[in-house]
Amino acid sequence: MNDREMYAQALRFSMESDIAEYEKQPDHKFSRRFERRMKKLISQGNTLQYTPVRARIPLKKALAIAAIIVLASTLLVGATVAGYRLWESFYIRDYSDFSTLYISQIEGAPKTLEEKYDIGADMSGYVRTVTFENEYMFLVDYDIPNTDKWVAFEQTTRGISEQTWLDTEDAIVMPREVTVSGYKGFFCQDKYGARVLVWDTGDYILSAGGNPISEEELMRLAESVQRIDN
Amino acid sequence: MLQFYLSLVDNTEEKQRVEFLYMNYKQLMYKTALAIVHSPELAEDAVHEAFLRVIKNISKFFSFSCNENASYLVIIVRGIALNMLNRQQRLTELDEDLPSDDDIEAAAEIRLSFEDVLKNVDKLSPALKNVATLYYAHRLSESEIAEMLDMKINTVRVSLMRARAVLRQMGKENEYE
Repeated sequence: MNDREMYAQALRFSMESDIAEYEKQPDHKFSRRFERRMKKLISQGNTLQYTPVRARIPLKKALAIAAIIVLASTLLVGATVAGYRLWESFYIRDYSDFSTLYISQIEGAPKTLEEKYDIGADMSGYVRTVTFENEYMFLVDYDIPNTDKWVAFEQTTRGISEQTWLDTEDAIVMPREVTVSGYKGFFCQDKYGARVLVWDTGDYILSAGGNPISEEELMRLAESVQRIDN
Repeated sequence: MLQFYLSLVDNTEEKQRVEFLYMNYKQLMYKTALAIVHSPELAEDAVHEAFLRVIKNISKFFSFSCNENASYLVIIVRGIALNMLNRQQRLTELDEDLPSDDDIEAAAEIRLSFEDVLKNVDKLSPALKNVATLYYAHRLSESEIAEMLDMKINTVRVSLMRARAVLRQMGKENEYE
């Protein structure tokens, strides 16, 4: 073995040993601020590298890709079993430590947000921040300053949510069907205790989540959602 | 804004790769950063910054094995965490202190066993180990290392000279830790 090969081998051993040491440490519960920043970063990441538009792509295809924007959100959660259909247009497929939500029948729905919705209930005490807004998504955070308590509301086009990654690892409550303001949806709770409602108005996919929050309180907030742009 | 989505379309695989790396390695990256900065907030910032770097270099991550992914990500986040720490402690720049020609020549003449090299690797500072691992174990060029670690190419060269001097040491304390 020449010097270079010795260095390479020794450095590989050292790296393996370093990684083993790091991995011994307990897992970290990432802050919500971090998760939101990462969600934004991953959704916008490639624009850091590629600014020019190279070709015209059919909108539907663009939306299907953009659906991944919703990924990495700990907002949508479930559990790990097999694939199952919640109802006609919602289908969830479970893998070992995540699930994928598929929404069908997107053709007749608005391709962009033609109306904007938000929580209508009294949110005094919370600070409202619009964390992301474009033609396809509208994300609002409500935080109580100096506490870990948060509520989030999301509105997306059906196209955006056509295929969404769900963090279902060790979920406390698997997705189960609920009705929100007369619309079909599902409720679930992730391993950190965040409760989430996702429902389908036919035109848009809406979701409300929070932690700590009871299912009843979350349902009350979800049912208060109203149009805000008229 | 449509432009933004269209620009994503060409890079679906890259996006999925970033997601994969994020889901599978964020804990390891956090623990690596925390071991250096000892602050959960700074460690999260380091992971975030590391992913900015990963996105810039995502094309390289298609050819890596799982072990290589882990190694690269640890190196990237470790470098960032060290920079954070250095900024906090106002340490001097790496390229201000070069090993002397005598040191390098003396080190070049030494013949070492693999056991000696293993011991010397432990004497490398994390920053030097990062650069040396990318250069020797992963066979990246100096310019590729500079890009991945966001360093000046001269700093990479100096780091490699220092690392080599440490790796070739025999029976004396490391001067470049």
